[in-house]
This record gives sequence, structure tokens and C-alpha cells, in this order.
Amino acid sequence: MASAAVAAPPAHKPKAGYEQTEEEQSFHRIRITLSSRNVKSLEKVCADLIKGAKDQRLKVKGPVRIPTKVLVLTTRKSPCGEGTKTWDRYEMRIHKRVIDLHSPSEVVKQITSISIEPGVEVEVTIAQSN
Amino acid sequence: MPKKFIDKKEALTFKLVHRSQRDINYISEEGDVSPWVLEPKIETVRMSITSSFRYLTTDKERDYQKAERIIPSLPEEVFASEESVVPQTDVRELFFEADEDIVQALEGESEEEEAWEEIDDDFVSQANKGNFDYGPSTRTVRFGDEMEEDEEDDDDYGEDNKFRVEVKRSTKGQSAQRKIFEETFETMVKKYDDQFIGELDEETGRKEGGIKLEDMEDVFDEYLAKENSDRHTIKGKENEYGLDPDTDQFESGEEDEELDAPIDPSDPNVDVTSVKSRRSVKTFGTKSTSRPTAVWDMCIQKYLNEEYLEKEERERKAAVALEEEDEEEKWDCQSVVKNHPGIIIEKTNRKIVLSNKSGLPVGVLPQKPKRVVEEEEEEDRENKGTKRDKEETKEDKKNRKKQIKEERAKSRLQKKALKEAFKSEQSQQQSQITPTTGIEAQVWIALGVVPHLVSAVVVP
Repeated sequence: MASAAVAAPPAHKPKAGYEQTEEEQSFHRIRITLSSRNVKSLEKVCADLIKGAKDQRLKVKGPVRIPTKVLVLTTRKSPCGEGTKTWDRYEMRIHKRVIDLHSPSEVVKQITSISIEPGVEVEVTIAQSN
Repeated sequence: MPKKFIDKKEALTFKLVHRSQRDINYISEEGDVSPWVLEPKIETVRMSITSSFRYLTTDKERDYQKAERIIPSLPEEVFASEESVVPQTDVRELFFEADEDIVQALEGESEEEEAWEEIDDDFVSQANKGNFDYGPSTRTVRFGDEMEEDEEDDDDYGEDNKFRVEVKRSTKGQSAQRKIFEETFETMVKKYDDQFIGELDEETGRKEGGIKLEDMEDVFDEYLAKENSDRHTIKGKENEYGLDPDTDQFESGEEDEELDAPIDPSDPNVDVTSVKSRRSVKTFGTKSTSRPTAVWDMCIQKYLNEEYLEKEERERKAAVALEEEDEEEKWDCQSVVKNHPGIIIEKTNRKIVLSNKSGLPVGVLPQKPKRVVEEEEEEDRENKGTKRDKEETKEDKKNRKKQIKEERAKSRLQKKALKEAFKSEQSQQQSQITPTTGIEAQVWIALGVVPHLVSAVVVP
């Protein structure tokens, strides 16, 4: 029947115009994981998603920022071993954001029609809450 | 722990991908179909770490069950469609300079199919209508004429006959559910090596015993002789089983001329042993139930007694057996002596030697452990590449240089100490071996060797 998500605030009242009843439609718990090397485009996509979800009056958990992973490669600058030992430090930063939603089936379509920037990888995990 | 929002084991994961251009719903003009599509992600989960290797496996069955539950509940447009379409092409676009005949043939609208079957010998000239010119310039002119013709004809053909290729290849386009199913199958198949998939081989190696038919020849002789003698004594029994007493066969049995005829050993066509074996075997079906196993029993007996082996082999085997016997029971003089229990005695042949220096017996008292030189870590000697700060003040530079100098001085002292240690050790050892006083020393001197300078003596 109703979803048993503990995170739902108990004092949540349906807003005016919020006509969907949970019995009619099967709600899905959706977790969207966005990852990218580029913060700006990532934040943009995040904002779009959340805005879209709020327009649909869905329960959204705002973008959770997972600590960025810094992949570092330290190498000697010199091709031979001679000279003062100087080192190069290359790094790649991976940013990750997680958005949680509760949405009925039809709205899942809307998720896929957001504009996504190049370089942002989107993963969607769907579970049924029946 | 609070309840998780999503339990990974119950949820399906998808990746958001661009819709394929070959998708039926790929119509970029319309707004309601999204250019993005959910594609199932095949997750690898490390299930167990066993001995030296870890294997990544996925619980494919559960994935499929999840898929069955979740995917139908989502709108269809979200997934890639099963059917795929190859984008339409117009033949006229491909072959601008096409001949009308070719286009007609491709479109399959030619009514005069008979015209294609017969070609005259001079079809080339016929095609060119007598005007045969290889020049390239004239060719373009020609084509120009033909193109004009085509344009006129185009209006007639119009849009009805646009050459369209619509191929529905359901094998290419797959729904999300189907994809998961196929992955399940693939992982299952991978469990089996290639050689185990498919029909069984016909020839998996013929199994053969070690006994040759020829070896059993005398057994067959024996048996047949026995049977022949028995025949006359057990007549009554044979009648009981419905056998004909004279011919030893069932009343309705077949007569085998070849088997029953006397064997001529000199006849090259006849394989004596096989005939005998077959005769023996033949009696299986005709005699009473107690007898058929007789031949078999005799064969087995012979095998067990190893009579069938050739003489040489037998001797060899016997020899081996003898050898093994010998080894087991061999007693050595030494082993005999050692095996006798005796009293525990401590025997020492060494004489007590006093050292020249101290007067104490050598090798009896415990030695003082030599002082071990402190070993510094070798890593300190490595140059790890300390950076020289660009904005170094004079003092900093002085300090740095000073540190380096100190380190060098330190290492120099260490080196010296080491060298000294080695030298002292060597001289000590020398003095222990070579005598400097006493009668022996005088002998050395007489020989012309100065004892304390005997560093050339090699210490064993």
C-alpha cells in the first residue's frame, strides 16, 4: 500500500491540487546518481532535475554531494634519472551528486526528457515501493 | 541504522543514454518523445573471495525477476523500443545518373520481364542505338539529354513510388527486459567450456581390455571339448529345456554351417580363434542356464592365473617380484648394529687446547658477543629529491648546505669506523691462529716467516 519510507516527514499534508492518491498508482523510489569531472555542468543538471521534480510536486531529496574523488598521478618529470628530482602531479576530480525522488510511473518519463550536458553521467536506480 | 531509501538488492539500475537513431520513436521533431532512454546497467558484484582469486559474479536470476516486476510498471517510451528502423533512402538520391531501367528494376515495377531474359549479341550497340562513342565529353552531353528526360518522367512517377526501405529487424532492437534475459543466459553458458556444449562426440576413445583373443584359445579348446563330452551325458536335461538332443540346438534354432563344420587350421581364411570363441559363445543361447557362464568363468580363471601372458612376460614379472622381496628383507651390517639398543655415551676425541694468550681452554667458555656496529637505515642515503625552495633566503641556503655537509661528515666517520672494525677483527683472528711465542713461533722464524706479519695466511 503506502510506501514505508522513513524519511517522509510525518506532518506532510498534500498540497492543494495534489490529486494523486497513493492507492491508484504505484510509486517508485528513484535514486539518480550524477557524476562528472566538471562541476559547473553537473550543478546545472542537478538544478534542472530538482526544479522539474518540484514542478511535479514530487518529494525530492536535494542534491547530496558526495565528497569528490581526486585521482592523482605523480610522476618524475625527467625521462632519465638524471638531474634534480622534479615531480609532476596530475589529478582528475570526480564529482558526484545523488538525488532521491518518490514518483509515480508516468513521471519517470519526464526525468528522461531533461536536458543533459555532455560529460555528465546519469544513473537511475528504481525500486518499487509496494 | 535507519532504513535505507533504496535497497540495492530490490532495485534496478539504469543508465541514461541517448536514444538510438534506429529507434522507431526517434523522431526529433516531435516534442513528446524524449531523446533519452533508460538502459539497464549490468552490475558486477563481488560475491566471494575464495583462495587466491576473487570472482565477480552477478545474481542474474534475481535481476531478471526484478526486471519482470519493475519494468512493466514504467512507461514504455522510457525504454528503447524493440523494433528498429533503418533510415529511409531514396534510390534517386543514390544514383543520380541512373538509368530508368535500373530504377524500375529496383522498384520492381517492370512489367516486361521477358525483355530481360534475352540479350542479343550486339546489345551494346542496341543500347546506344547505333551511336557508339567512347569519348568522355560526348558522354556528358548524352547524360544531359537523358537527365532532361528523366525529369519529365519524374512527375509521372511522383511520390507514390518513393523507394523506401523499411526493415524491421527485431533482433537488433531489444527491450530492456529482453536484454537482461539474454545476459542471464550468457552467464549461464559461460559456466560451460566450449567442449561441453553441443552433442557428445561419437568417438570418445574405444575402451579395450588387455587380453587378446588368441590368448584364450586354449580355454576355448578346453571348453568345447568339455561340452562335447558332456553332451552325451546330460541328455535328459537338454530335453527339458526344449533342446534337440542331437544337435544341441533349439528346435527352431538356426544352423550355422560355418561354426559347426570342423575347423581346418591350415586354411588361411579361417580365423581359428574367432571361430572357437564364437562356437563357445553360441552355446550360451542353446544350453541350460547354468552352463553359459562356464566359458566366461574359465576365461576369468585363466586371466587371474596369468596364464595368458607370454612366457617372457611372466618371467619378467617373477623377477620383479623377487627383487622386491629382497629389498624388503635386506639387512645391512650397519643397520643391524644400529638397530641394537645400547648405552648412551658421550664421546669426544678432541684434546683440550689452551690458548696462548689467556691460558684458558679454547672453545669451552662462552664467548662475549662482539659489539655490533649500529646499522643505520639505508634509506637515509637515498636522495628523495628534496626541493629547493625558490624563494630561499641566504640563511636558509646556509642552513641547507650546512646540513648536507654534516651528513657527509657523518657518513665519512661511519666509513672510517667500519674500516677500523674490519681491521681489528682480522688481526684478532690472525693472532689466534698463528703463534707469536713459544716453540712453534721459533720454528716459524727458522723457516723465515715472521709470525706477526703472517697476514698472507688464509684463515679457513
